[in-house]
Amino acid sequence: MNFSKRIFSSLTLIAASAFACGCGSITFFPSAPAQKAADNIIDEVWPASQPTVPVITVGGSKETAPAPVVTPK
Amino acid sequence: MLPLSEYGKHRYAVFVLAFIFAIFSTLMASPAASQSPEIDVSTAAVVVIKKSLAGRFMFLKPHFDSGAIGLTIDGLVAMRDLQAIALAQTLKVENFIAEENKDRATLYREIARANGRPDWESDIKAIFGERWISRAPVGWYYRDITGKWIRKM
Repeated sequence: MNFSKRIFSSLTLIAASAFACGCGSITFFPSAPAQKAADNIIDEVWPASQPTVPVITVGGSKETAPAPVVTPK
Repeated sequence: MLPLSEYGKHRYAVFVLAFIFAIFSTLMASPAASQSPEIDVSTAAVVVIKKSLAGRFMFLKPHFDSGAIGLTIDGLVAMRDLQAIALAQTLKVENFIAEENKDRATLYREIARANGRPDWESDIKAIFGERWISRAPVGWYYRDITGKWIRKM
């Protein structure tokens, strides 16, 4: 086997290994799901910090909803 | 070293390009392919910490409102203005801040651990740091990366 063939074989092997490792083990930090999870936790631990107004439903139970946006006429 | 023929050079170039493509596709394709769709925050430890944080919030909120304390970019809470706190309350507020920060640090570490990636702790901390500030009401203070306190508008 001459020198160039050895290089080709080595490169092929390295490329295949790199691709296999990349597909199998590299996991990037999932920013969007993490942000969603953080928001959910913040909603739970800071319930009183969100602006809310009481809403009375047809059944008579009280719930809260985000404050409505008032637009000028 | 043997000289490469024209054909050999061509094949060499093709293999080099294939190698570069393989590395590039590894870097570009794997985030989407291997990202977990959700972050698990349902472990018992996280639930306990959330309760602890929620229970402390009613005490800390007036101090956030007054500007005595504020949020930091690294996801923690810090004293901003001691003068805004009654002398008798100072020690109590400081203790609450210490407990809050301990809980928050545990929360970030626990979320990373629960997802099998302890190395994500700093990323989770950074995300929370940004989200606490983003979700804070207008008028609260936060300390930016330069250490300057900014009132949320």
